[in-house]
Amino acid sequence: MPSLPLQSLCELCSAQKPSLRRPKTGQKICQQCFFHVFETEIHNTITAASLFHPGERVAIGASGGKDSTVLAHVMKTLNERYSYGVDFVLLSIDEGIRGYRDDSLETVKRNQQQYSLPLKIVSYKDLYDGWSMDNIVAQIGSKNNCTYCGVFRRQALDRGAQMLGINHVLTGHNADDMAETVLMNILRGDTARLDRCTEIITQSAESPIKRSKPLKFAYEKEIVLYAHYKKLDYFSTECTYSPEAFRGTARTLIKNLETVRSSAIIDIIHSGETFALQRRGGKNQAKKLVAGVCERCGYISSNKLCKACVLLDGLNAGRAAVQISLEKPGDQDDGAALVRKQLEHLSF
Amino acid sequence: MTAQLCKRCSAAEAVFVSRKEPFCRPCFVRYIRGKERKQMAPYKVTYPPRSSSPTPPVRLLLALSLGASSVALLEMLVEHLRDQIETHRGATGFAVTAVHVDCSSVSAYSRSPAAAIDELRDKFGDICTFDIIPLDDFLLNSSDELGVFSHGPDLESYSFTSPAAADDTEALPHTVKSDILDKVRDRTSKRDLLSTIIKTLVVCAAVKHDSPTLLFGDTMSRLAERVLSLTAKGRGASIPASISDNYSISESVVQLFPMREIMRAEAGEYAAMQGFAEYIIKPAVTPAAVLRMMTIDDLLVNYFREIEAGFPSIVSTVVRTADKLKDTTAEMDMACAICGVKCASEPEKWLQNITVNTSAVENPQEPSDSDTLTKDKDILCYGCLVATKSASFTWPCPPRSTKEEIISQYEL
Ligand SMILES: [Zn+2]
Ligand SMILES: [Zn+2]
Ligand SMILES: [Zn+2]
Ligand SMILES: [Zn+2]
Repeated sequence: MPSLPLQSLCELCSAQKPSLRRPKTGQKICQQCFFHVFETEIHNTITAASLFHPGERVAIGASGGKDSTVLAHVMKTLNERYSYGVDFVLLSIDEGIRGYRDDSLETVKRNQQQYSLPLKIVSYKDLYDGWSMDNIVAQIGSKNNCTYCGVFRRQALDRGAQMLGINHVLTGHNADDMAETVLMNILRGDTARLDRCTEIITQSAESPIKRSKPLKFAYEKEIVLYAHYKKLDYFSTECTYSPEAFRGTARTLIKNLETVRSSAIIDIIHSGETFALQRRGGKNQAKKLVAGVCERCGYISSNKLCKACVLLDGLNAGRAAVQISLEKPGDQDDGAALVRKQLEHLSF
Repeated sequence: MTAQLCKRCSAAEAVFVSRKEPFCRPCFVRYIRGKERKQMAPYKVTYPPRSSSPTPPVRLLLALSLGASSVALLEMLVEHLRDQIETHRGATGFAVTAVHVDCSSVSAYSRSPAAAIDELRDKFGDICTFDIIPLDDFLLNSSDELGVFSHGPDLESYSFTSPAAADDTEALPHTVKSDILDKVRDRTSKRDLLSTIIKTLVVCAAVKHDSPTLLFGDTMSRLAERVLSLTAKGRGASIPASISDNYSISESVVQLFPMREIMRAEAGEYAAMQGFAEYIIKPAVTPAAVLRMMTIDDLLVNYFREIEAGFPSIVSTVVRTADKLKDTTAEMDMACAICGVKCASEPEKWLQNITVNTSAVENPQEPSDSDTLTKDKDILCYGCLVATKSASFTWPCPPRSTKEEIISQYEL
């Protein structure tokens, strides 16, 4: 234990007055040390995974929210500090959600000025036969919104990147999101997704674009603190369309685990990194998708039509998404879909 | 309210609803025992070819925590043995030694475990044998037995090891409580280390009793909790070793979970129905009013209690999913100095990378090689690294280095 006078000083530099208790470790530290450790950890994450190469053009998925705003700020800072030599571009999706996306896009536009980075906006309306999220919800009601948004958003980011001639997109997923994903995949029995679900880079047969998550070890609370102390301009309203209810219950569990032991979030990610499935007789080999393209829109798809086009057909025909199975065959165990449905009604 | 009829026999009045199905007492007992018999099927009485005398029974060691499910399992094993004795004119396919690790120095029981074991011995001494092991045996255990799980490192190089404590090992009275658990502040870590100690002791007991199989009374609910608890404690790699049937937990011992198809509430109800409630003296969970005072295990007990009631299928989903995980530790060539799990040498480095401990004003240099692990040092798995963080104690690990060895190794 440090002697008495030291207790009122930052635990890292022993020079400044501490101004926060660090969520990840509980250490009392000063602002400068907080910026230093927060940024250095992200830098370590990037170098450990050899995320970038000099001269690479990389898009930052920018929503105007805290995660992507901090991501853009830190990427710009580290790129200059450590000379990554990366050419960053902001890429935003306009889902067409009034009172949410229109306002947050204003934030992104200000970020573009603040960080002097180029910005590209692609909208659902332009990509999907004039359907905005508001129109979709008006048609299908308030359930399954995220199903549509998930499919459309992923494809929209890919297409935006392709328009820019870029094949690497950064997303703002943070450590809490990663931990949630690990627990949810266990609770849902989603074995296909459990395997390597914490990997920093995801590259799949379903998407032509590489995704990566430089904030995968950054605690959500620290992202909020970082944005606060750096006085970053971000948009803090949650999406008005409710997320999948079950994510909420896993989130509560993680919050409680974190209260009991502050390292729980990274501990869960560490566990997730060790998960691998038993391989049985080349079954996984057989499951590997044959990469083809959607015959209507040209997007990568293993079926005749890609998921987005299937959903669009449904919307255009006035049907709801409920009848459409979005899962690949063999993706899940029997009953998993039912369990998912049940879990959505759980409350803690 | 009119009485509900048992759905199995449609004759008797239901006394218990399990997984949304109403059961009468005899049907419930048959249902639960059926699940245990299915798991214990390999231990039926067998006869060698052309012989009328049965194969001698295999000795199974039952880890009896005196919680509801291990007590229920004891009852079922006793009944199972009685049936075999009756059917096979005195012969049995297995024999049982029930072992209890007496934790009264560190955790609460509703009454003395020694007295409960004595009563059980009086009652079932003709069917099975009982053994009670003091927790502190962990500190006295001879190296050979402890060696099944620990691989003989000295932990000199780690911050939690106190070289001074290692020096006067001969002088002080040793208890697990004062030597280890009191030195750990975090309740989750205490409980985590305690369960490592208990598991080690029962494995040692299995070796001592020449038993090739160790039976645990963990129910499906408990296994599901353990999956999430291990995940939350950074011990995800240990999941297969902690829930899989027939997993080798030491060179000569495999583990088996005969209650893996039974829910926690079912086991408790069963034990109570069979008049075994008085032997359940270990509370399932230490209730804590304040979240901060709970352990990760407590938290998950509560989480699954809620899930089990409303959505029993989620409990089985978790266990089934975990059963599909590959034992990645099998590929590792190092072993954790504390829990013995095989691991890579990287956990400390991994943690340092993402919890940076340098100040903004210092040279933002990478820590030099001398600060990080060198090849000669013994390693801890990630879970044990987290559990022992900032604690200072000596973990008994044979063969313990002598003072001279330590000095010759470290003095410059
Ligand atoms: Zn400082
Ligand atoms: Zn398409
Ligand atoms: Zn009945
Ligand atoms: Zn360990």
